[in-house]
Formats: sequence, structure tokens, C-alpha cells
Amino acid sequence: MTQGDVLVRAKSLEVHFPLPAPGPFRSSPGAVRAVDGVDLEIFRGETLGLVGESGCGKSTLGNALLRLVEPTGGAVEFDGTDVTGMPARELRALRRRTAMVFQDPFASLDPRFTVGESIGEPLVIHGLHRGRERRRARVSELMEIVGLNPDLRNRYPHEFSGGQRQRVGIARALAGEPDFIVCDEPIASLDVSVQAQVVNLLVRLQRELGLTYLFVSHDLAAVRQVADRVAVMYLGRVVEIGDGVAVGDEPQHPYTEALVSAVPVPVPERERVRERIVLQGDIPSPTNPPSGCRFRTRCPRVFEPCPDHDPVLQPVGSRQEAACHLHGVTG
Amino acid sequence: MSPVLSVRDLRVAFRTGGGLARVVNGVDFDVEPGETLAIVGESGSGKSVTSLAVLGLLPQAVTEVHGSAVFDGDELIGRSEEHLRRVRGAGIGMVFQDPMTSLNPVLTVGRQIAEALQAHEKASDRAVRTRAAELLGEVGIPDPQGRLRAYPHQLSGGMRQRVMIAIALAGNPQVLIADEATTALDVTVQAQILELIERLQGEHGMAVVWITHDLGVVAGIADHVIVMYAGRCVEEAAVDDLYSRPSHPYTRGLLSSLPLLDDPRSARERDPLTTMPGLPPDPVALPEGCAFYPRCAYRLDDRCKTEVPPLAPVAAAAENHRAATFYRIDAADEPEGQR
Repeated sequence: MTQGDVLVRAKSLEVHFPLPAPGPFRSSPGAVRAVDGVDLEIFRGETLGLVGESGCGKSTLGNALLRLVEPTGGAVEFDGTDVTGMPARELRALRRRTAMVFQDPFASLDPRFTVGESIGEPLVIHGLHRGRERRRARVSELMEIVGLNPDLRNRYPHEFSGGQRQRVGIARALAGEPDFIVCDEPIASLDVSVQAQVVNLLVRLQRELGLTYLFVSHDLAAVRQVADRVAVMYLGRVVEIGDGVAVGDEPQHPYTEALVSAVPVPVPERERVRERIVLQGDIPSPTNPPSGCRFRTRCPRVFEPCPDHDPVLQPVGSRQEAACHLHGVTG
Repeated sequence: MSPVLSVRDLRVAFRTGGGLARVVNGVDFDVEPGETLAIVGESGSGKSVTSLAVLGLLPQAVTEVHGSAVFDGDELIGRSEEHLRRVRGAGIGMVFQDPMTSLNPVLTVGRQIAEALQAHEKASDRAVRTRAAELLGEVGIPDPQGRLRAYPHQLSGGMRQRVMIAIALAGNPQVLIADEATTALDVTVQAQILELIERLQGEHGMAVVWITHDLGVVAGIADHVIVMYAGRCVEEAAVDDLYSRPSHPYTRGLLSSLPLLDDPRSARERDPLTTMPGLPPDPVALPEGCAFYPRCAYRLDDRCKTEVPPLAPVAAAAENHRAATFYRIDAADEPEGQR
């Protein structure tokens, strides 16, 4: 993997969802700032893990990078081209090079389509492997790649287990031969013994096909297993990003520190003595984030500059960046 | 000390269109006063159904429950609804996974706690209000007086789960059953709830039965662990013994399939996760012998296929560490890659 070859770039990316006005002659009370100023680079051939808790904006960011939601500010570049204002025609060609694997493969597969039809649909849409026989052969090949028996092609999603359905979802994502795949909580709804199978499959496919992943997950341990680099989101912002080992083992942002410390480790003697940093209170509303640093209302290490200065990502050591005044006041 | 809850040969089957689904197939366990017992298993292992059967919360029309569950010297299986009502809450409290669906959306939090309080004792409205606010304070909800008037949708997921815990505590139970109580929560909120339950357990001296699929959570809180597979207990042990010497092939498979957060190697340097092939069996068509046989890496052909292995001590020295397997893991093959 050569760093420096950027496949996907977000520049000051914003996705704000306006709140509905409470009455006919009243103005909207504001917007949910799901993604609120994110700068991010994803290098060709790497896996970037994106972690954070419910409502931090991680799924919205993944969707915005694929233009599945329209950014309200900033820009997204794919392979050097600004795709933010790209018209739908041109976007379609780009769509083939990107794909998404969803959390719940049951909800993302059409129950009236056989799995063979679901996997073959992107081929039809993008005009790949034209002709019935060639398409059929390609679907069989895709099913084999993800470890499904091609003889099951005429079955319907409800006849499959959760793990198998996720394999169907992955086969479908691979159909257009994408460069970049956003995996949005791909193992969250699977049983423990099946999660490992899907994680291994995703890793193997990446190595074999040279894919680039954004792996969105709330499960930091799973992210550490697959991601070269990890980005941590809190309330619409990336608060820390860097080498997966560094972010996991030596977190430099107090939020990452709390997050890492809260993940239970399945080893009793280590888990019992581990210092859990228990954050007080709840995540503030993304409609009205705190002034200055957004984490300051819950931060155990809050100090004078935090309410007034909005920290920006700054390098800490050689392997990561953190948006925290503890490493020098910014913003 | 005698156990506060003692379950013996519990069997639960559901009558379904496709046949009889045998979901719990002979489970035994004891809950000692003040201890934390974890029941671990994947979806469909029967872990939740076990606790629902003990409390008589399964739909009677389609369920067959056999066996025994003795709480505080009193048999619960087959008892009248009226009798069970007195046990639920006052004897055994329960917290479920999703507080949004277990709370009534159209009643205030205060009203719902009051309901739980009044179910077990007569008291003036005023005393009930005071006690309800006290309970909210005890579970760490700020401004408890004000929050009595809040509706569930006005609270965050973590706060709702605290309300559920307050309701479960209302009857001062001897046993608290927490069924995937932190599964729907974020990890930092989960840490808050784990800490809360530990504190309450210390203050009230209640036993906690923690039902979960999360082996990380179990490692931190449990004294004793039961691993369930296809409605049977396949292994039980003190928490340290289970993790350091998993003796059933299923337990070993589960533990080694987990990614470790504190493994210092980068993602590229790591080995693929250990996987178990296949899926748990269909409860309508359980295999004749060991239910884990089709997925087992250590199976001994004829015997495992036809005979159900009994739960037996893994070694003479470890009376309380039992596993239901014919394959004996001996000292020569200690769990590879000691975790």
C-alpha cells in the first residue's frame, strides 16, 4: 500500500438535515448537523475504520462519500474528480466504481428477487457481462468468490441465514467491480460465531481484489482487526485519526481514550483490573452542539480554552492526529 | 449457603406450524445469593427463553414447559398467574434489552415506577412519589423529581435503561435478571450501566443473572458462567476457569473467534479470526446426538453422532468446571494462542 495515492477525499464536508418548521408561519428551528466539517483522505488499497457511537454521523459520512445523501457543504473527490456537483448521468458511471455493504442484509435485499437476480441486478444496470448466459456465469463466479454455492441462486433471501445473506450483499456489492466499498456496520446484526466468518471474508476480498474500504462500525475491536487506519467521530466531527495500532493503543483524544477503555475485553483477569473511564451524561444534541470543543461537556480533562476555541486536527507524534487542546491550543 | 434460585431439568418447547421447536432441552443451574451468574449464548441458544420460562412469561397456549425452578423454597413452574405476579418484581426483577419497547410510551416515567411500587405494597400516593424519585436518584438520573414527569421518548437510551432498572428495583428483588440489558446501548453508555448494576448489587446484596452474547461483558462482571448451545448448557465454570481453560469445543471456538482490541499487531499482521463452520441447528430438527456435532472440529464420529454427552467435570480437580463433551481436552493441548 502506498500512502499518498488518495482515492477518496472529503473537504470540509457538511451534511445538515433541516428540522421541519413547527407551524405554517414559523421558521425551522435549525438543522441536525450530522456531519459538520470533516476533512478526510482514504488511500487506495487501505481500510479506513470509522468508529463512533450512535448519532455521531458516521453512517451519514459514509453515505455522503458515495453521494447517497447530498452534502450541504464542502466537497467530495473520488479519484481526483470533484463529484459534489456532478450531474446524475456522469454520476452513474462513477457509481459502478463504488458500492456499499449494509448492516442488515435482510432489509437491503428485495424479498421478491432470488439471490441470483439480486446479485445480477447491478450487472444489468451497468451493462456488464451482457447476455443471459454470460450474466449467469458471472453471478455464479461472484457467489463462489464470497463462499456461496452457486446452486443456491434460485433461492429467496428468507431461505438464507444472516451470515449467508450478508455474503449475498457482499457479492452484489462486488458485481460492478468497484474500487471503493463502504461497509456500514457489516457484522453488527450477526451472531458472534458468524461475525468472524464475514470479517475474514471482507479482509480476504480486499487483499485479493485490491479494494479500498471505509469500514464503519461501533465495534472498536472489530475495526482493529480489519483497519489500517482508524478515524474516531464525535458529534459530526473527526476527533482523532491515524494508524490503527496507535489509535487503539495510545489514544490521544480524551474521547477516544474513554471509548477504548469502555470496550470490554474477553479476558477476565485483564478486564477486571482495567480502568474504565466512565463518561458522565449523554451526547449533546447535534442540532445545537456545544461551543468550542464539542466534547467539552463530558470531557474529564476539560480546561480553560475548551469553551472558546474549536480545536482542529493536529499531528500528535508521527502516527496520528487529534483535535484536542491538550496537544496545544488550536482553532 | 443455599441457592436463591435453583433450576432443574428445565425444558421448553414451542408448538409451531413446522413442528415442535425444542428450544430449551434440560437446563440446570443454581443462583447463589449475591453472586453474578452469566448465561452466554448466541441467538436461538435458549438463554432468554430459560429466564422467561422461570418467570412464567411465555405464551401458555403454544408453550410446553417442564422441569423445576425453585425460588426461595418455592416452586415456580406450573404455578398460577396470581402467584407468579407476587414473585415477579418482589422476588425476581427483570430488565430487558430494549427499554423503548418495554416502557409504556403514553405514561410518564413516574407513573410507571409508581405502578411497580403499588403492585407489591399499599402506600399513599405521596409516599409512592417520594420513593419513585428516590429510585430515580439511586439509578443515577439527575433531577429525579423533575424527571418523574418525563415520557420515555424524552429520555436517551441510557436513561431509559436506568428507568427500567429503577422499576426492577422497586420491589426490592433478591434476584435481578438482566436480559441483554446493555446490548442496544453504546459502549460508553454500557460502561455506565455496568457500573450502576455493580454498585446496586453491592448496596442491595441481590444476585444478578446476566444473559448476554457478549463475552467481553461477561469477563468483567460474572462470578460463574453457563454457556448455552441449542437449548443445553454445554459448559459451566467459574469465570476465570472458563476463559483460561475452555473445555467444550463450542466455547473454545467462540472465544477464539473474537477480535481482540488490545492485540498489539496491526490489522495486516494479524491472522484471520478463527471461525466455526456452519450454523446452530434448527430447534424443530435437532440432531440425535450432540447438537454441536455437525460443526465440531474435535468430534469422535459414532459416539458424538448418536449420544448426547452429559455435563461432567472436566478434571477430577475441577468439580465446578463441567463440560458436555466426549472429547477431553487434556494438558497436552492447552488452548492454543493463550488469550
